[in-house]
Amino acid sequence: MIEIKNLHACVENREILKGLSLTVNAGEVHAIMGPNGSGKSTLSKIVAGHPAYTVTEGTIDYEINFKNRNLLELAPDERAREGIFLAYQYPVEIPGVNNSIFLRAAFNAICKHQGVEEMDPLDFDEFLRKKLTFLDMKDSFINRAVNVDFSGGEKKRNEILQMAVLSPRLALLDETDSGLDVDSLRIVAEGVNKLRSKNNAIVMVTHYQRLLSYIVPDFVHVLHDGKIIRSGSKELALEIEECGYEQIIQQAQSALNTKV
Amino acid sequence: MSHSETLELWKTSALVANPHFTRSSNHSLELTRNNAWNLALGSGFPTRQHEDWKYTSLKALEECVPNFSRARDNSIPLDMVDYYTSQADLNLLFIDGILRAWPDDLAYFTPLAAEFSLNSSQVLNFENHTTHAFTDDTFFALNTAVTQDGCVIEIPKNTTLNQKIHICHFSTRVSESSEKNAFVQTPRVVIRVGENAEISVMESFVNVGSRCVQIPIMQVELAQNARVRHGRFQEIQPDDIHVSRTLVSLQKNAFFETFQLDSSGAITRNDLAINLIGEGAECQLSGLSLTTGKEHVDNHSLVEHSSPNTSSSQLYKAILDGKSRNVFNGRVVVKKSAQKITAFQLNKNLLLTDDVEVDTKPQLEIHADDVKCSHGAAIGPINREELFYLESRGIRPDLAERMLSQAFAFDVLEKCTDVGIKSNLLRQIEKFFGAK
Repeated sequence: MIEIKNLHACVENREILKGLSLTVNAGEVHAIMGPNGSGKSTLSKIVAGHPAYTVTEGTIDYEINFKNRNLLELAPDERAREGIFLAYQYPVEIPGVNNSIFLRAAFNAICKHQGVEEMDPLDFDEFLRKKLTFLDMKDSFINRAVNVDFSGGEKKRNEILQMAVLSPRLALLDETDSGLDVDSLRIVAEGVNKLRSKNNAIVMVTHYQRLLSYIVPDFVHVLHDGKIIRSGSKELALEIEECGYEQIIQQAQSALNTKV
Repeated sequence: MSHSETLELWKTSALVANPHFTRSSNHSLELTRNNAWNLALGSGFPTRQHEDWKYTSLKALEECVPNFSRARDNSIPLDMVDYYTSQADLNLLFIDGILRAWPDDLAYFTPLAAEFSLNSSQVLNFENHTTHAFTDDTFFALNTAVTQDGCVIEIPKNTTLNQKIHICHFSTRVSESSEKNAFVQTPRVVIRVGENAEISVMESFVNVGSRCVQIPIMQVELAQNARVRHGRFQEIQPDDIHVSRTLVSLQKNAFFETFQLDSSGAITRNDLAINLIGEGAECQLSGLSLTTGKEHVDNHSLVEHSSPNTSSSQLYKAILDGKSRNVFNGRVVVKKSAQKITAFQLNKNLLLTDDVEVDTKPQLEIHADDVKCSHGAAIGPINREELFYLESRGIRPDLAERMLSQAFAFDVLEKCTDVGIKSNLLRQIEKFFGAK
C-alpha cells in the first residue's frame, strides 16, 4: 500500500530522517518504536504532508486504485481524501469551529472525492452518534469547538472518532497512547481494533510496549537517528521493554560494524 | 486648496440647496448652526498631521463634490424596507436622509424637523451634552450645521421595550452627474433612556444608489440603571465614505453594549465616545471589520471612567483580505477619583494577504491608582497548524481558510447579547462570507 524508500527529511535545515525505508501492505499493523528524538513523529507528519518538513531525498509510493503514485506530489488535503489519516500526538485546538460541522465537512470532502453523495446534516448526525457510542463518547462532545477545552484523553478519543468517521486506508497513530489513563487507553485501543480490516493498514508510533498489548502489531520496527535499525515481530517490543533502547541500538551498531 | 477652502465649497453648496440652514425662526438654532459652521470652517477637514487621523487620509472626501439637494421622489422603496426590516421591530425609516416613517402611534419618537420648530429646542446645542468628546470635531460640527432630519427618542423611566428599535438609513438616489458627486447625509439621532428603562437599538446604513458621504451622529443618554443594547452595520457602495460619531453617557449603574460591523465602503471612520459618569456604570464594546478590496476601516473608541467601580470591556476584530486597511485606536481615560474600575481592551487582526495593513494603538491614561486595566493587540495570518489540521482531514485549503475566518468572526459576535441585533448582524456576516 505504501512504500517508503531511503527517505531523508529535514525541518528547519536540521536533518531528522536519514535514509528510512518501510513497506506496509493492506491488512497489516506496524509499530514504530524508538527513543525520544529518533524521528518517529517526523515520519508520520511527512506522510500526512505537513509543510514544515522538507524531503531532501528518497521516495514515497502510495497505491491509489492499484497504481503507485508519488505521494509527495499530493497536497495534504488530497492525501487525506485518498485515505491517509494522521491521529495527532498533540491534536490542534480550533476555537470557534464546531466539531460536528468540522467532521461533516471532512466526511463530505471524502464522499465527494469518491463520487458518493454527500450526507445531509440530519443523516450525518445519526451516523456520528453511532460512532460516538462505538467509542463510548458523550453526545455533547460533537457540539463543542474542535478540541477546545478537551482533556488529554478526550483529544485522543476525538482523533479516533475522526478515524472512525473517515475510515482511512492508511492510519498513522502518533503516540496515541500518551496522556491516556488505563481506561481511556483500553477504549481507544478497542476502537482502533474494531477499525482493523484486511483492506486498511495501521502504523503506530509509540515509545512504549503498553499500547501494543492492546493493539497487537504484525511488525515492530526500531527507529534510531532517522533510520530503522531493526525490524521484527511483536516479540521485539517485549525485548525493548525488557532491555531498553540502549541495548538494541548497541546490538544494531555492533552488527553493522561486524558487517563492515 | 486649503482644507477650510474645501469646506467653504461645502457651505456654499449646502446653502444653495437649503437656504434655511442658517436662517431660522428659531434663533437659538440659528446661532448653534452658525457657530457650528464657524467651527468647521476654522478647523477644516482633518489631515494626517492630526494625531487622531494619522492613519486615515480624507483625500477622497476632499475631492468629492458634495450634493445637499433634497430628493424629489418621496416614495418609500418597499422591497428594500421588507428585506432589511422586520415587522416585529419599531422601524424608523430614513430615506435619503429624511425620516419618512416611524411608529407615530408611540409618544417616544419626535422627528427632528418637528423638534426644530420648537423655539425652545436645544437638541443641537452642544453645550448641553454630558460628554466633552468632539467639541472641536469638524464632522460633529458639520452635522450640526447641516443636519436636515433625525429623531429624538425619549424612553420614560421603568419602560422596557420588548421590540427592538431599528433605525434604517436607506440611500436610493441616483446621480447622472460625475462620479465625484456625493450625496451628503447627516442624520442626527438623540436617545434618552429613563431610569430603569431597557431598550435595544439597531442602526443600519444601506446604499443602493450613487455615491454617498454619510456623517451620522447618535447621542445616547442613559439615566440611572438604564440598559441599552446597540448594534450597527453599513452595507454601502465601494466608493462611499462613512464618518460616524456616537456619544454615550451613562449614569449610575447604567449598562451599554454596542457592536459595530464594517464590511463595505471606501472609507469608514467610526468614533465612539463613552463617558461612564455614574458609579457602577458598565459598557461592552465590540467590533468586527470584514474587508476584501480596498476598504479602509478606522474605529476610534474613547472610554472615560469618571466614577469609581465602573467597568469597560472592548473586543475589536478584523479580517483583512485584498488590499484593505484596518485602524483601531482605543483610548481609555481613568479619572483620578475613579478607583476600583476595570478596563479591558483587545484588538485582533487576521491577515489573509500580504497586501493588507493594520495600525492598532491602545492608549491608556490612568490617573487613579487602584484600577485593573489591560490591553492587547494581535496581528497575524491564519494559524498554520489549525489550517493543516483541517487540510489533513481532507478539507480543501480554501474551505479550511473560510472555516477558520468564520470562527474568528463568530467568536466576537458572541459578545452581542441581544437576539434581534445578533440575528441582523449574523445575516450581514453570512452574506459577506457567502459573497466572498
